Amino acid sequence: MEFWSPLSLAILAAGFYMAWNLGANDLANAMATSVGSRALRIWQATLIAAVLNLVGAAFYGSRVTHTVAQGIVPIGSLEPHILALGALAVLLAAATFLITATHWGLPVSTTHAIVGAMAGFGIVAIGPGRVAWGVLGKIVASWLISPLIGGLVAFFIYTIFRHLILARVSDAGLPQVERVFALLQIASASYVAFAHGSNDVANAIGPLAAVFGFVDQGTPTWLLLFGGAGIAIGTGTWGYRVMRTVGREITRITPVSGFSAEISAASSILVFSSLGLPISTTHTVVGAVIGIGLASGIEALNLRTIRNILLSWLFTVPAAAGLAALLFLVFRGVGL
Amino acid sequence: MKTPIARLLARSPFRALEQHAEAACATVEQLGRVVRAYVAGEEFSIAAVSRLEHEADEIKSEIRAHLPSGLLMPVSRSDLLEFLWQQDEIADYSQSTAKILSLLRPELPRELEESLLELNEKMLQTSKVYLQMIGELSDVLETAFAKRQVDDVVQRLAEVNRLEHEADELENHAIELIYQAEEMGDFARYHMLRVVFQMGEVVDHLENAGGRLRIMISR
Repeated sequence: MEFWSPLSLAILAAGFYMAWNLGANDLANAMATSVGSRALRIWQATLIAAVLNLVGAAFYGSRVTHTVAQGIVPIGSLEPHILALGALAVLLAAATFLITATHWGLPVSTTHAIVGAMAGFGIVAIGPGRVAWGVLGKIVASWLISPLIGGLVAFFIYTIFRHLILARVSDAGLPQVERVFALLQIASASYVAFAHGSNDVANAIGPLAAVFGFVDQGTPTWLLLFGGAGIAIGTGTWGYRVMRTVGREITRITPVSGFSAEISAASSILVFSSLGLPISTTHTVVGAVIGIGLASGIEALNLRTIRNILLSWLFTVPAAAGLAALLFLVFRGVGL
Repeated sequence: MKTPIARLLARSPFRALEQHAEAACATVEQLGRVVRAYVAGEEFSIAAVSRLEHEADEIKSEIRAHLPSGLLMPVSRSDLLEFLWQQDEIADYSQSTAKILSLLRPELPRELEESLLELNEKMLQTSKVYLQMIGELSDVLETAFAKRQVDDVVQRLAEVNRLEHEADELENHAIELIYQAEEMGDFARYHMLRVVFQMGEVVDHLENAGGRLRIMISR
């Protein structure tokens, strides 16, 4: 694949847009519990998010990227040009779907959209029989398991803090406990940003790695940096606004709850990153926050969000798959 | 734009419950001023009592409106609503007491005047301790219902209960005085009985609301 062709530049631009979008929306969302506990100022959260996410992407992002690039669709048999058209179709389909869904206020996941789009492309490009349904099944199962693990871990961690610290603190000592945990939240927020980078960077550069990577040789580092930088720019140019809105609207979370939610969600995300499974970081954070709520650590949670998330699961994959398949057929049909 | 996490983190009703308690206890405090002016035979207005009662009502409606059934809270939704209802009764009875007071000011025996003032002070004291108890609620939530913090609330509640008992005795004494005051007209005595019963209801509901709070936070 020639690097400086218009097609490859279009793919890079689409990948950059996806990265920017991840930084502007998803990462801001992952950092919400830090902003919600007032542990971090917006600019601090933005800086931590941008830097640690880039580190996570560069050092730990290759496994998930590998799965997105060639785990779902065995790309070895495809010609480079077809692959390039496919990557462009996948990115544009996912982006279009996300823009539309966000416009309607639906809590859709970037990960689900990209995975669905890759599968849709695979079905029309190599035939449904050769799509790696086993891998796809494992990925879909991980979408269910990751919020549950995040929730379970969060429930136990918060319960431990509750019995070991909160149950023993005096009225006078309570503000001090709060201050300590507010400081600890700088670390846990960094951990979340790192975990986010390690998993979500694949959504932007997975399709790029299929085009520019060398099959079975892992993800080129420059691509991981490219994705991480795109996310950082998204956070810096737009994500801080989302965080500001979240910080204003959100119910206050105590630093102990925020810290527990963050380390649980980040640990859960990292487990799936090391397994190379692309999961929704947002849904994992949602699971962790609910775990804290079940342990009496949050004053009020709107559980209808769960219903909306589950509904969004049902249509994200088919819609993104259909759109990617359609775009690919159009691109190939017009002789791009 | 609302992110999924921002949607998940619903508006907490607990801060509003505190504001509702503040409004309810401010109504009691205004009633206290009305009673003092009434006994002193001065001019008074019950407008402030009505305004505060209305404020409490609005906070109550606001809390109810933002309490959908799919809300996960560390306390039961029905316990919370029961507590809110009892706390709102504090403001309601304060307002109706002020209203009744404003309708008639008969000539009162000196002893009854003093008895009314004593009952009034006891009512105000109970309301003050009640509000302190509500102030402890945020620490209870902050520590996820740590025993020590729940005990702080329970101790305040014991004080509220003790004050309510003392108010009961003062109420009984005032009733006796009204029964003995044969020089007063029958309707004037009926009127004063209503006033005393109503003041007793205000204190009773401070106690009841405290009891409901305890049920809400105990586990």
